[in-house]
Amino acid sequence: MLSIWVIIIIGLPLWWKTTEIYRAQLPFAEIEEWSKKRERLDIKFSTHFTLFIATNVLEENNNFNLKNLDIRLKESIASKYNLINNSKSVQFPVKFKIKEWNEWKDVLKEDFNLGQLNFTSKNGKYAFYILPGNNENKKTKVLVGNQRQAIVQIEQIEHWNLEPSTEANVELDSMRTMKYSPMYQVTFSLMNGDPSSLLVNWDIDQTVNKYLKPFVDKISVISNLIVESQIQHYARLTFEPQQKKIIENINYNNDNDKYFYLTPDLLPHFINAAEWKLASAVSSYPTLNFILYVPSLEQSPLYIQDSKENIIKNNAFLIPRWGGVVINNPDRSTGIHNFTSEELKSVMSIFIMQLRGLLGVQDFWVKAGSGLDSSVTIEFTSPQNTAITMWELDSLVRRRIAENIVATILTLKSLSQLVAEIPNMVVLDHIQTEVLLALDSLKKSCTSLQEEQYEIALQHAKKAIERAESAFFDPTMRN
Amino acid sequence: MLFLKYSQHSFLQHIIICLILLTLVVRSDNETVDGFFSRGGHTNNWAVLVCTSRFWFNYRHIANTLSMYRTVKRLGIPDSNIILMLADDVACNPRNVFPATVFNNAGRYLDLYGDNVEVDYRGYEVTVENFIRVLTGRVEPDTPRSKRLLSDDRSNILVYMTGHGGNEFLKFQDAEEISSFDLADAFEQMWEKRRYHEVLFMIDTCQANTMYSQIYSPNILATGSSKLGENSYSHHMDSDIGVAVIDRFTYYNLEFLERIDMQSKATLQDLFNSYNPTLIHSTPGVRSDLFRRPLDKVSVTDFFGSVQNVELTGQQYNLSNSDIDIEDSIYSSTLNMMDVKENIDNRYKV
Repeated sequence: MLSIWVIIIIGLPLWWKTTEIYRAQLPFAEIEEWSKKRERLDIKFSTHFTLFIATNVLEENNNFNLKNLDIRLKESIASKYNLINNSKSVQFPVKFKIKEWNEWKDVLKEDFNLGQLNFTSKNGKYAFYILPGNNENKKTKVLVGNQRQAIVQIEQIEHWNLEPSTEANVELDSMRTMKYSPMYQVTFSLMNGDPSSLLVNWDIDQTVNKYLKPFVDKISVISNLIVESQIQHYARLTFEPQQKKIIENINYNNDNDKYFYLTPDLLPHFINAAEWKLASAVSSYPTLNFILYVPSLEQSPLYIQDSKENIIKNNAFLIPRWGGVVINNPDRSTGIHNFTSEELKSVMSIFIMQLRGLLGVQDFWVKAGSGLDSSVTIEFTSPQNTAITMWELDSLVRRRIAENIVATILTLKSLSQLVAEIPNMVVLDHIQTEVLLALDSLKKSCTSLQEEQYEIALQHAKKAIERAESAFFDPTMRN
Repeated sequence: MLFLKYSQHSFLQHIIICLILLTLVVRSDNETVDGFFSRGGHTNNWAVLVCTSRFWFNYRHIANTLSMYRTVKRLGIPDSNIILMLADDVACNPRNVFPATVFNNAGRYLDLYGDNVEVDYRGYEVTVENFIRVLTGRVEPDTPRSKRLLSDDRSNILVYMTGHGGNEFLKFQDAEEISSFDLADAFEQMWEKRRYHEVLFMIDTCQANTMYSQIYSPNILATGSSKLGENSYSHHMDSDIGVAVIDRFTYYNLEFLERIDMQSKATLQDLFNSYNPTLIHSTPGVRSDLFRRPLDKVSVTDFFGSVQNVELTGQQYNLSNSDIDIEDSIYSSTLNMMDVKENIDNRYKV
């Protein structure tokens, strides 16, 4: 009798204890607070602009009221920005500093030499140099530098248009751009349609080192790229391209009088997913594929037509969140073709264009062109080898900070919701640690953002999302 | 004069504003908006095809799954985006009189087990746990890429399951079962982590329609072979192989899908309309209350194929570098605006 009671008294709590689902305490309240914060206005990207105004401009216009200018600018920015952006979770406070500029004559002599302006700055600090016009042509010239500076040469203008630049492309961009990942795998494939008539090879190593590496280095602040290459033979298309008799104004080096073309509605089927080995088993990071396609003799030369039946000069197209394709019709006379690094330069410049789009680099010239009217000529300095200007990199950094902060909050919120919803889910101690570390990085990122330390904020935001995801996708989290 | 000054002043202001706006382009990516870019709003397709039955007499379940595998591959989903789970290997079963083959028709026209079949989870690897792990992405860190569902917020996923089931459960391997609640929770976890854009859940088993009854996550379309209390029947048997080779629901789905090619404009409504309860010998169900697009606007290839969106690239990036004269090229090479403008107009989207 006693033994039964002993078993019940000792055994029952023991049984209860041992069969209990282990749950480490998660900071639910804090996560809740963050997700509420997200709905209110929270993330701030403050930006400083320094306007260097040439003394000459000031002399010519006595009532060019400087004090007035910065307030007016601020107001119109605020009204304009609200006009085009209704999302409230991100704010852009703008600050202006206006300085007189004495050395402007040297710059004018050198015909807009931005190299003379030693304006060193970091993300979020920009300089505009305002110059007087030279009265030759009555156009206002704008030169946007590859660092964080721009020159505006202003003329007397009778009238002007203010059209808000619309953000209609946001949706398009979001479909094209890959989701953030700390690492991407970039695969360059040379696909040969038929090696029996033409053998191909390429100097991809050299080309990548020469043209792509500077970009890879630059963008590594945000994500790293692993680059690999392959050559595949017998890469058939799944369909027959259409053919046409030659038109006079297009010169082919092929003796045939017909050429082959792909229409936009055929392009979605271009990738022969069943036969072309494009998947890489090396890592689980997202893959970006870039294909240089050499058609077989029976399908050469092969071109891409747009819907208006014009042949696309680049002979290239982009597949959102997947990669890019360039079709090349090399000289077949010798039966062997080696793509030299010189030849690959133009191919690589298309690939880089596509890669920029896939990684979310916004093309500045498109945006700027749409915002200004024809009385302004705007020019852009090319970046020094890197295929990305400081303006573009800054903007991408800010965007990835915002995305990662939002994604971290959402992930943690989902995690806490799941744990609450599914009572059988085990939560081990290391999950708790990861969540706490993620919250810590999140806090640090927001603090750095307030201090306008964008690079540091990005590093913390990257850590935050990484930890939040590793907690969410931990194999021990199961029901 | 006053006007001139004003306008110059404002013009300067305008230019500066435009430049400033350039720097302010940041987008928070927490809202999913639909666009004109693709018909369905997805950029990639995935398929998870599961046969949960073991043993020789369940030959037809493996044939069902391999038939779907063949179809989605034919319609353009690459092997890297297909997770194929087969609980048994009937092709190599000693009772198979046609070794190393699987047929889905007594006519034996088509060997489903021909070249290029990539089974990702095989035999005893096909468990409820592994299936849920594939869906939710909670796999061990050393899991190879081919065993992971690496989908994102723009992925359309086809989940096809076949096996023996009952009211709100599906048996795995004769040893365990997945309930409709487990399945619903797994989908919810996927939705929470934005692992899909849309899901088509298709199940061929007895009382199949009960399996999707508990799903509560958005953008999921579900279809099953038979309602509560109804069995799902096999279509016909091959007397040489000695067992039934395909189930009715899958058979009539395939009959429709065989007539589809990559360019096809057929919709899921057409597919569902083709279901004939007298031929299938059970009542197929469709659940579309969680799905937000009208079914007659959803192409069959949105789930069974992989029709990629395409954007013609009109521009080239100006690679200004060369080995020696880097310094010269910095300032000289700018993009010709005329060309760019022209090329922007040439950009064309499908």
